[in-house]
Amino acid sequence: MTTINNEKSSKLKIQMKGISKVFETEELETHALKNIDLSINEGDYVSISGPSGCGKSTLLSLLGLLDMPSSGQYFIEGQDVSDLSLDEAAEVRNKKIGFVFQSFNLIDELSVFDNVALPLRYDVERPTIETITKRVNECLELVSMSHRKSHKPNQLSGGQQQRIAIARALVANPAILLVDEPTGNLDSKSGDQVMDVLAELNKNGTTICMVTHDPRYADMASIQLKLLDGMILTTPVAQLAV
Amino acid sequence: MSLNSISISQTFQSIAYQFKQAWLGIRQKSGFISSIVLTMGLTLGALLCVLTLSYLMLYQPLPYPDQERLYWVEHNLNDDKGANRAGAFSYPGLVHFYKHQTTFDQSAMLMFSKDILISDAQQPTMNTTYITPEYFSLLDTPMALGRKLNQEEGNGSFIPVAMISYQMWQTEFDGNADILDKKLSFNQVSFRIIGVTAANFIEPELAEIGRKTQVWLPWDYNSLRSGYENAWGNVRYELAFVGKLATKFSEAQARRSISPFLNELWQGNVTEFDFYQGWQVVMDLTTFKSRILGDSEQRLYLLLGSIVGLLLIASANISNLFISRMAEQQKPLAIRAALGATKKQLFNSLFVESFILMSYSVVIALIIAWLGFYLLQSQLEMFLPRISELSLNLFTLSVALFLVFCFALFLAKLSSKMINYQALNHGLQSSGKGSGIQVSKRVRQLLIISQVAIATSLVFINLSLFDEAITEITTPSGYNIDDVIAIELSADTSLPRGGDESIALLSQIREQFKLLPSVRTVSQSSTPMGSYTSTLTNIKTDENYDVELLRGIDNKYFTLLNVVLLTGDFFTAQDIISKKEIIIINDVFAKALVGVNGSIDDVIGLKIKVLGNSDEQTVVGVVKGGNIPNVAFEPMQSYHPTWRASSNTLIKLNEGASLSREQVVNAIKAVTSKYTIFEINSLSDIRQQMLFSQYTTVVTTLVLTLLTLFLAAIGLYGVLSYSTQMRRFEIGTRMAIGAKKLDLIALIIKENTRSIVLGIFFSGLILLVLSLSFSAVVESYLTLQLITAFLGTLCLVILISVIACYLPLRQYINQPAIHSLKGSE
Repeated sequence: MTTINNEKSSKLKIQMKGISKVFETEELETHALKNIDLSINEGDYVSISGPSGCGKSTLLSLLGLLDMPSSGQYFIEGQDVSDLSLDEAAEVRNKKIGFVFQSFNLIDELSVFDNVALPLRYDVERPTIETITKRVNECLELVSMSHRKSHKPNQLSGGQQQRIAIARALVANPAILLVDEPTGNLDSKSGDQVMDVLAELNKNGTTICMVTHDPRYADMASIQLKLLDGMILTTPVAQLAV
Repeated sequence: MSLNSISISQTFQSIAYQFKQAWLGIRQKSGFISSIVLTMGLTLGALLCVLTLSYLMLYQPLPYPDQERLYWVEHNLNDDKGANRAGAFSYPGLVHFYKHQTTFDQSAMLMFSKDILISDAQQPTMNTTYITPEYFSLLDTPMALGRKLNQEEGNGSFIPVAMISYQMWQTEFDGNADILDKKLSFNQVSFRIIGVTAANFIEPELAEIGRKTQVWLPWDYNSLRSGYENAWGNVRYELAFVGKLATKFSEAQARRSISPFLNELWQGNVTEFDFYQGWQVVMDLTTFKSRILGDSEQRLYLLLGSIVGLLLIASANISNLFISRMAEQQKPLAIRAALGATKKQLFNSLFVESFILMSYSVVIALIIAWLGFYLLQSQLEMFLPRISELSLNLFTLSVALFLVFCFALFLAKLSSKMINYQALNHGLQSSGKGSGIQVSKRVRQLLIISQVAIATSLVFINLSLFDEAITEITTPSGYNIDDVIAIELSADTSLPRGGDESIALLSQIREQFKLLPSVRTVSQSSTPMGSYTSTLTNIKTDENYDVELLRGIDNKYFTLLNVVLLTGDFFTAQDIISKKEIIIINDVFAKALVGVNGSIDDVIGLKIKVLGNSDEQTVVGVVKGGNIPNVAFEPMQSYHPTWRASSNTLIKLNEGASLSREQVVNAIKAVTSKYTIFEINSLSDIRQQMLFSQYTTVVTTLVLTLLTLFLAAIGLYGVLSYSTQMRRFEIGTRMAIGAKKLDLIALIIKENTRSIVLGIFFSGLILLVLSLSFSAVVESYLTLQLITAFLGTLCLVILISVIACYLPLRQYINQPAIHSLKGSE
């Protein structure tokens, strides 16, 4: 059992109980994740690392409701999200989860501003233009990209694009930021800058869960989980001892 | 072996290698192959079918010797104002022209008829043609058995012989080899069969499209000979003159030479008719080919236009498939380029690939065309001329080969244009992101716009024709024609025409009909569908009206057909017996006579004169108007009392009851043997026959509409499926940040709305240009109904566009978002 007890706050953001994921093809069953228990509290900065094929990405997609577990229970801020329809999952993702992808996944046709605003456009409550503008500007400010609002993503460097992606992930005030190899497509200088942004965000209270295979960046997280063959190896409690 | 032959054999080997490689390359892609072969097979099949038909109708020489010199002579009567009033020969005029003309080397007289084969127990009605023997040498008729009529059996010889068609031989006599010298009886004359035309003999369809003569009889036995031999004032549409123009005459010279030929003679013979005062005979000639083609050209161009439209859609479809395939082929192409393939070599392999695909398509196309010929021959024989000559011929095959070559070249050019040869060399080194071949957004939009534009135009044109035909079919006739049978009898030639004996016999026959259990009412009337247009004059005002005339109505006609009397009276039985000069008219005519402010009651007692008839007739009643197929909507109509010796009979049966030909034959036989059935039809069958072209239009336009929609749907699906596939990660990203299914469907639809709207706009332009350039043809179609057709078209096009937007998305939005994001790193 992996329990994360963060001293800063005890408010539970994410809780997984006995989560497994099995991929079935005609010939074989692959157990990508086996009986994962995981809790993340408000303000945590968790890194998940491990060798290729250990199940990191699968775990991240389950955390982000991009995929559904084969068994187990999953709660986000107390809400049971173990068994949602595709549209229900989309709504939860929109409100509670911010994604940062390795390849940024910005939409080339949209300006920086519109890219960042996109999650708000899918919000069922349909926020007003003023609310959207205000919020987008705040988030661009947070990643120091306000001056590039009307650019198109392909006019920016990789590091800048990733910072825009972070702003987009933050725009809907999610419960947690899920970050997938954020520096994988970046040179080391841009990578460092992006990591600094993340560290700064966490310092100001954003809960982050990051998948990375780079030990240098994994160390920047306050809680480090190691995955091997679909199971969590380390007992983070020990590392958290102050 | 010489150097030359070595290099030839090397070229051959290299071509064989290319074909093998190309086949191995595309073999894997069964979806690609089947989409292309199906689309092109169907479209090229339809194209080959219609092109062969067009070639046949417009260019292919008729299968007769010196066919370009074969002419049909027209005998026109022009009135004192020069307007053409009739286009047929009088009997004596025809015989005189046949005997004395010198413009044609060889000529023949014809009379198209229908006669009852008395020698058969069923007494069937046959298509007969009375001819002079030169007819068969003009056509060089091949024979299956026996011989043709010879000169000894010509005009005035009175030798009772007959020739029958191959089809008649097969159906009536089961192809019996002993058919020669057997007897056929028509009109109390027994004819000896002397020959059967060959199966491959194609009779020129001079009288009407699709009419096939079953029996040819000598001219001497035609029914007009006694009674019409001096009737210069009567023109008969069943009479015809055909001939081979003498070589010394050009067509223009011949026209000048025959034009005044009969004029003076005719005028000298019609002096007794005031009516013909100032009229002229103007003779003209038409080649067999244009006589047979008639006004079918328009139908042909309509078909051709639709098929070309389909071909455009299909071309856009397969272009799109090839473009997408090139995008997918970037890696193998890059490897080839890296190994040193030149641009030309890449082009060659693309050409071979598309050549193989087009060859497959053309094989399917030839099968489709062949099926199309069969369909045309079985369904449209009465609609388009020369259909029986249709077959896969050298023309079809040459066009097929030409199309294979053109399309293969076009597709290879298109594909090779997609290759950026420079970029290919980098293709292997880079990760594949952003480089290589992609279909630009502009090309995709153009494809959507063109598909929508062509499809909308075609569907609209077809739907408007469909709509018009449906309206004509469903227009209420105003009569109740259910369970009504029309019978026409044929009288023995020994029976004096119109005498008391025939009046008495006919009355007894009608009484006999009444005794049949299924019969409710019997009326001595013609069918309501047998009207013709004539000019009626209001004597008081001297104003003329073009009216649909229905002759031969008795006192029971209107009640039998449930026609409502608005004012005045129906005819009485006494009116018919005393041959009163009275008429009943319909409300439309009555309103035209009294003007907008008058009452239809005012027409009672009005005197009317029919053109060519000296007697005045008094209006006694006004009935509610009816519609006759192929006549202007709500025509003016007038009804005239029947001639007492008319054999036209209408029988109303009890609801749902039936009456067999045999029952009718027996009922007549019980009274007399001097009358036989000439024709028996239910009114609904007659109506259906009259609406044949409308039914054909309904089927053809429906098929074309469905085919168009089908091809356009495939095309739009192809473009959108490709562009959706290209946007997989974007769709995944949008899903990851919270887009729901409907958000994404709305996104794709919204993004394509512009192209679709533009497409619809361009179709409007296409239709405008078409209607301006063919304004004369289109004018009659421009009605309010077009709005329904247009709305219908819009709905269909929008529906297929929406479906084409949704289907490719389905695979992404109905699965967890991670499937769309996989591989995005």
